Order: sequence, then structure tokens, then C-alpha cells
Amino acid sequence: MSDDDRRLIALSLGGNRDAYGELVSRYQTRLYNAAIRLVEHPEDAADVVQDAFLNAYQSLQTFKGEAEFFTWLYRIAFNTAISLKRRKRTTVSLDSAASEGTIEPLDCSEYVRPGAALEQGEEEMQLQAALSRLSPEHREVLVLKDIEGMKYEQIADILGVPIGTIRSRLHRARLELRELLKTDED
Amino acid sequence: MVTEDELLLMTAGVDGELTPAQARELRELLVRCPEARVLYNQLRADSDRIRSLPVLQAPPGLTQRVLDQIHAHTPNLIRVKHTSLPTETDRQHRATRSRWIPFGIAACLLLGVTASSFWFFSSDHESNVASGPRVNRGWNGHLPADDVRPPTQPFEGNEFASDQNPPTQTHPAAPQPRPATGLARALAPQPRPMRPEFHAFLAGAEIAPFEFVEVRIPVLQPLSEFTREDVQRDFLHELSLEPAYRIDLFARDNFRGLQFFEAAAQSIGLRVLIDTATADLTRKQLARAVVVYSDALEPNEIVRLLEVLSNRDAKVSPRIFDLVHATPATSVEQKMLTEILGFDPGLFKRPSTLEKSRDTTKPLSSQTVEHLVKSVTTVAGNPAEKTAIALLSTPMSSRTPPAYSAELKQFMANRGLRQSKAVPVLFVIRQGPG
Repeated sequence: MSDDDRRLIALSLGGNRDAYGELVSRYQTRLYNAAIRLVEHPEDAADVVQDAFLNAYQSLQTFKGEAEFFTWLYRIAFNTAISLKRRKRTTVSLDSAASEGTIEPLDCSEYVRPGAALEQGEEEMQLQAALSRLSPEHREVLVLKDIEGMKYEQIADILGVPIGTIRSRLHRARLELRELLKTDED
Repeated sequence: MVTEDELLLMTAGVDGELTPAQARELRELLVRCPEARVLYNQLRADSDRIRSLPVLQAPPGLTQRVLDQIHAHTPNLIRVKHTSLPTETDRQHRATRSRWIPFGIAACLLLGVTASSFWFFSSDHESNVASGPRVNRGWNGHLPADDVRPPTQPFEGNEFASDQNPPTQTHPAAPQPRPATGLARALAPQPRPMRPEFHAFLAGAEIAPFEFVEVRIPVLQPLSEFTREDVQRDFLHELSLEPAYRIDLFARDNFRGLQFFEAAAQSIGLRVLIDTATADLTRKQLARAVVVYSDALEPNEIVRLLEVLSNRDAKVSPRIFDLVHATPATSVEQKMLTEILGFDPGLFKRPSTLEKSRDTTKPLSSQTVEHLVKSVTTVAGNPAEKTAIALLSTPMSSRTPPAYSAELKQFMANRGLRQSKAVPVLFVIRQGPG
């Protein structure tokens, strides 16, 4: 963990909320990009990030500093995303949504560049749709590996599972994604 | 045809996590097998596509929203110590501290009585001696001050005449008291030092801010999470901390929940004996909660049971179970079980260890003989079989009295002695949301 993170965490623990605000600013984009691949909508991703930072603040005392702050934060965000999906599942069935073709590609453009949804390429839309059909476990390892660029060891650390499990999950995830994309291509 | 091992090699290659030997092996594979080469290139392309997804900016104002939420929800950071963190040493220290609590309270009470008595006699004495107008000195006026004069020192009319810091002008100087004739002034003993204590302290005494607050968080996880190794590991650790547990399983449908539970238990070698009336009322959706008690399971078996239950539950849509809430059993659970079972199962009793019975020089006790005879003559069920009993947790008026339940009798007959590693556990299958 960087010295600066350590300093900000220490200040936050001392009651300095501005210091925590700096940590939020530092990691929000990275966490948001990871979260948006785990949930269906940008609004949900924002909620996940917001709740994750709040939960992290409330349990900051338990953070021992042995791992990277982002690693710890990501774990919290992932659990938050899973809880959110579960809550939403009680009202909207994912299967029914898929059959109705309502799994839209993730359009975050409203926050970045208005109107950009129209410019999203067909390939990207297919990829987003395929990713959203993967199981959370598979999607998670792909996000950590390909988007976050983490090593097996780091992913295993975040998810708290053996490296062998990560290897096999990634293996299955890649093959499953290939099948989904192949179906779309056909 | 690409084999499974070759597929593993290719995906590991896409992950960029190959050893030099594996990388060489992959290169050879790609050279000799066109099919593998095509698939490998596709997998690489997929990975590149994920990597090339655009980086999105977080919504504006997110930082402020987080800080606002923090301000609204958490006035101050509280040091939270997770349930799984205390070590054996911590628990021993806690137990040692607990033993001292009664002594601490008694000491504080004694101190309080002493101080009150002293205050009472001191006030009485002062009113007898100095009957003139009194200066209000607050708390210091009631307790003996440090500047108590020796008997030989003449009594000064002005209380503050010799003080280093004279009172402000708002305090009028006390008039000269009448000479106390015929009364001997006695010195009160010095009071014991009084320090505010955690368990009992004088009103108004200032307490230093707590340096450490321990909050135990009960396990609250969706049942679906119990297939994860980390969740299983944490829960296994939790089960090793306390002598007995209560595990609430929130189900959409109690009857199906009980059916699923029975099947899952069966698969790990636990036979659930369901009381006939309980089964009947649960089938009619009239049971709000069903208690399944067993003291035959070891922690790893309990975790395994939840894992199997989760796997079975995942096969139906929508799922039957939602959340699992596990807490250490307390006297409330003990009382409830005693009412439901008709006997106290001894949740907190230590199981007998085998070491005691290994001493062959001792004669067999009557209890041992009784257990031997019982194990030989018991006909209902297999004594070695692990069993649990399922009963309603509703008030006594609407459930079968324990004495009339054949299943409960069978459970008692099969129960036997609790194994040393077994953890009594009380599952409560209850109606959840949805």
C-alpha cells in the first residue's frame, strides 16, 4: 500500500473526512469501471460505488493495511453489487429480462458525453451483452484480470479463494464468453 | 480435437500466466494444431476487446454524495472488532475480566456507602459547629478539604482568609462565627481516593472517552453464498468460537424449506425426525417457524449442510431460501428448547471426553453400565445414526406436548452422548420476505 494511502487512512481514522474524500476521489473512477461490469445499469454502478465507500468508511478500523486499499475496497464493492443484484432479482427476473431483450448495453454516456450511446459500436454492445449474461463469478474474474490487469495471486487475495480456483474460473469464464460471442456472431 | 488440458494451457496463455516451460508447450501446440490456433486467437481477441472497453468517468458529485452519506450515517468512526478476530487469549482475558466484575461492583458499592456516611456525618458536624451563615462551596463544601486544620490551629472566621486563590467579589466574606465552646473538634479521616469506574461511578463524575468498543456482528449471509469457500471458512471459524448456535434460515415457503432441509441433511448423514403434527401444520402453511435441533453435528458438518442446502436451493427458481442468520445460542434459546423438547438439552454443557473413560483401573460406573445396556437394547433406530428433531416453535397451546411426540421419543432414544467436537445447533426455518 502506498504511503499516501496509508496517511489518508490514518487521517480518516482520526476523524478527518476530507482525507477520506481524497481517497474517494482517487479510487472512484477505477471502482466505478469495475462495478459497471458487474451490474446492469450505470445508476446501479454509482449506487454500488457509493455504498462501497460508505461501508468501507464504517469498517475502516478493520482494514489492517496488509493488502492494497483498492483490493479491500473492491471486495466490499463486489459484495455490495451482489446484494444489489439479489435485491433487484426479487422484482425483475433476469431471465425474463433477457428473453425480452431488455439487457441493454451499458450506456454510461449520460455522465460523460451526451448522445454517445448512439456511437457505441456493434462489437462493444455485443461484448457488454455477453458479459452481462455471464455468472457473477465469471464476470468478476474477467473484470479483475482483463480490466484491472491483476495477477492470479492478487485476484485470489481479493476473492479469498485459492489460486487454482481463480485459474479454473477464468478458464471457464473465457470459454463461456467465447460461446456467447460466437452465438451472437452466428 | 483440443483436449481439456490444452484448453487450460491456452486460457492460461491468454491470462499471461505461463511458466517458460508451459509457454514453450503452448507454442508447440499452436504450431501443430490449427484448431487450437484459431481458438487461441479468438480467446486473445476477446480478452483484447474487454481491455479496450472505454474507461468511464464516475458520475460527477459522487465524492460529495459519499461524504454527505458518511456525515448522515456515521457521526464518528467506531472501532469495530469482527467476531472472527478474537483469539483464544482474548477470550481467556475476557473470561478473567468477567470474573472480577462482581468484586468490582461490590468494591464500588462499599466505597459509595463509605463516602455517603462520611458526607452525612461531616455535614452534621459542620452544622453543629458553625451555625453562622455558610458559604456555598459546592461539592468541596461537603467533602473534607485538604486544608483541614490541625486541632491546635485557631479557627479562622473567614474560610478563605488563608487561601492562595481568594474567592471572587460575588462571595460575601463569612462573618466571624461564634466561638464553639464545650465542643471538641475532631478530625475526620482522609477519604479514600475516588476514581470513576466503568461499572459503578458517582453521578457527575467525568468518564474518559472509551478507547475501545467491541461490536460483535452476527453472521448474516444469503444462503447462496455458502457455496463460496471463503464464506465457508469464515463460518467454520465462527462455529468454533461459541459452545452452541442458533441459525435462522429465512424461507419463502416453510414447508418446502423443511423438505429441502431434510433432503440436504439426509445427504450429509443426518436424519431429521419431523414431528407428525409439525409436518401436518407446516404442509397446511400454518407454521410460521419450525425448529430443527441437533447436537450431533460437528462444525464442518454444519457448514457442509448449508452448502448442500444452498446447492439444492439453486436448482429451483425462485429460490426457497434467502438469508442465513447465525448467532451464538443464549439462555433464551435454552429456555425455548427446554419448552419445546420437554427437557433441557444442555446447550452449554461440556461434552464428556473419551480420556476420562480410558482409565481401565477404575471400575465401571453405574452410568456407563446404563449407557451400555441402553445402546444394546435400543431397538428404535440405529444408535450411531445422527439425528435431528423438527418441531413447531409456536406456543405450547398449538403444538404437540413433548410427551406425545413419537418422533421426539425416537430422537431422545437415538441421541446418545454428545461427541466432543459436536456443536449443539438450533436451526429455525422461518417465513422470510417474499
